[in-house]
Amino acid sequence: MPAISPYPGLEPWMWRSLLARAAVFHATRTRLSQFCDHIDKGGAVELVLRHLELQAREWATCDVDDDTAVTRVVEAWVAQLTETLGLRQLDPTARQLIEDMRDLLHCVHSHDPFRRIFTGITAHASALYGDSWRTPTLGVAHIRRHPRGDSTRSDPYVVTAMTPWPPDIAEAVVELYIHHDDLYIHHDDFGPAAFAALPILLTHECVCHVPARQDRASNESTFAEGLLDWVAYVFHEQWAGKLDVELAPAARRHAEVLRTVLSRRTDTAEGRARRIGHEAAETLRSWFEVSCGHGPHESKLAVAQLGVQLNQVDRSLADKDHFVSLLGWPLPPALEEVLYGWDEGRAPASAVLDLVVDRELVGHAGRTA
Amino acid sequence: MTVERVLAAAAVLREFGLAEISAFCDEQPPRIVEILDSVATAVKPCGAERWRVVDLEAVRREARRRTVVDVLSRPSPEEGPGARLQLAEETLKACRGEPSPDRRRVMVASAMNHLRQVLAATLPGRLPWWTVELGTDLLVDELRRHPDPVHAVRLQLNVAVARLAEGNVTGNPMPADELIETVARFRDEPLLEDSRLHGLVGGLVDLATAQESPPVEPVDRLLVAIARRRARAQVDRDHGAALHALEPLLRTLGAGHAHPYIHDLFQTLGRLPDGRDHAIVYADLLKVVPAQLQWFPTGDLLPGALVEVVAEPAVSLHLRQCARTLESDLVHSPFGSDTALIGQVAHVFQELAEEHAGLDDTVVSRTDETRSELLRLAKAPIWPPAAVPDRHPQEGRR
Repeated sequence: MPAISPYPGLEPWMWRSLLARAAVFHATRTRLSQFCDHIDKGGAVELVLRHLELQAREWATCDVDDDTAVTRVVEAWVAQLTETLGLRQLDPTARQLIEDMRDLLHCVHSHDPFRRIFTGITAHASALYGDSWRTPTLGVAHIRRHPRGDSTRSDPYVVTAMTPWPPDIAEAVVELYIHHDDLYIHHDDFGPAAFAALPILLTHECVCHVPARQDRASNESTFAEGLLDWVAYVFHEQWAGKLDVELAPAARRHAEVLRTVLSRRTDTAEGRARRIGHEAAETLRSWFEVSCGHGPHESKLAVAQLGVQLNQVDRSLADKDHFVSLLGWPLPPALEEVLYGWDEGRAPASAVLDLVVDRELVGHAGRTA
Repeated sequence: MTVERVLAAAAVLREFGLAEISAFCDEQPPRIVEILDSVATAVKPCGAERWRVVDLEAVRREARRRTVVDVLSRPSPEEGPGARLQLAEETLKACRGEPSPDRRRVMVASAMNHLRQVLAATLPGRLPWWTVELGTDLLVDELRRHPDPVHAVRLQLNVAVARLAEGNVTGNPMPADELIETVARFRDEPLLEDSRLHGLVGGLVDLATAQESPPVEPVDRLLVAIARRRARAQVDRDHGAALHALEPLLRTLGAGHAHPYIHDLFQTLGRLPDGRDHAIVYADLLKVVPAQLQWFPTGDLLPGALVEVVAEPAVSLHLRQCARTLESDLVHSPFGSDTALIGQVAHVFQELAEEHAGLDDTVVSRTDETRSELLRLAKAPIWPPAAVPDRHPQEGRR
């Protein structure tokens, strides 16, 4: 049976090729971090990854069903791993890793790995947002260039995601994009690092964009792409273990590496917005600790909760970005006053936006206090 | 740590269902219920799988009891003000294309907040950032002392642009004398040609020419729109020259209320003893004059748009005819925006060129250049004129 893609944006052979590798990465997820480390070093482990890509490509266009294709790819790869283990000049840690991965390949299945991760995340995110939640549909498609224009060697995260705007009142679409290089037929660089980064990418979409109530979307928003991205990381940290305890260490690690990759890109407006938004969130967190006397964990969750609530307030993104612009240390007295009110349950989150965009207070949040 | 996390989540949520608190912590639901049961005097059930915190302090105490006390610290300082300063600049730049006056106002306020934070980190004394006043000589003096001279100019330009933007959106434009003085301060700055200052110089020119309310008559609107856009476009070629050309433009624009515009694209001021005419004319019309006819520029009435010329009577006749064609088209213009108005003029220019092509075969090529330039100017984003004072435009009312 020829491959049939469940995603209109993915050609059947592309789907089959991704499925085979994702199935292998899922089966070996407890060793993904070490796998990535060894790939960076090159040598035998990098070669076995290339062999996996080759086999996935080989079986992508074969006239068999998905289960059979995945099984054949795994069989071929197990044979390759066994052959590699026969090498005399093999680093002991690489040998151990390859042996471990070969053992883990006994339980590979061909369930859609993208949907599995997405479904787990949406279950948690919908609990955060309650009635404001939009039911999201996952789409997977390919893009013709690396999300950040980098080489896979320096930035192996060849995946990105977006939520097209505006969404429907009750529904949204989350599009996962995987870079596919047109120079090479049937080839892409979807590797273990990209697989491990899927949970944070999809968490970002579900926390920051799916339930958002605002007038527009902007990649340069310090609120939507900065402060809320920080909030998404807080929730990813909470959810990773519950989503998949075996994938959690690699998911957490690659979420952090991806954060570093994205935050150091202050040469782009998007990178600057992310960085300023993250700094604003940290400033607010410190304020909850210092001024309200909350513990460090409660303070972190308080920022997350305020972010979630502000995301549900139907106001312009400019208003929400303005709130972020006020979060410079120390906080202006007028803003402190309204934040105390919110913390003590006397004021809703919308009051924070009411205050900061009030005509008398725009740009002068401190002076009127 | 697990108990601390669950109780911290309870303290933040105050009243919650099991799914909600589960999303706020890393523990599985059965364990969460167990932990909540262990603090039953402080967290009471209030429905099926639902709880309410009744003693917040007790929950916090219990959460902290299990936590190693953290040393509280201020957030780690930024590596430098670069990203925030750039964000402030980009936010102000983005205001040009923002159609909603309310949103533009909020965006300017956000940019000023970011700028104040950068300045507070730069100035001595570590002032609270929101107390940094942008309109003081003291600030200018302090910024001049910055060890990096290009950065010093950049910060001063940022302050000037932010103040102009604030005046623009609040309807309180900078007084004309102060505006001229501000431009003069940067005009002879030797570091101004640094490419990093390009956007800021553009913003300064753009906002400086947006201080006055736009004229009502279509002809005057066209002239001011073209003059403003040409001044802005000159920044792309030469920062210093753009600022030098700005002062006379500002003086003319500022005098607009005292001396209303001429409402004509061509007007004869008088006849010279040698029989030639002294006239003022919309500058682009001179491109339609056949090459064999003589005229000489004698001054700029509105730099970039209106020039004074001395011309043979045949030139005057030709210019008058072309001007009337344009004016009659503009009078019936259905377009409200300056962009559309300029586009309309570019279209009429094509008709004029075709009409006069028989007189001189260079007219078409010269007019084509003008048309292309006008279309480029029409598309360039530019700050809208200053808001009307004490009026708060509503969304979508434009």
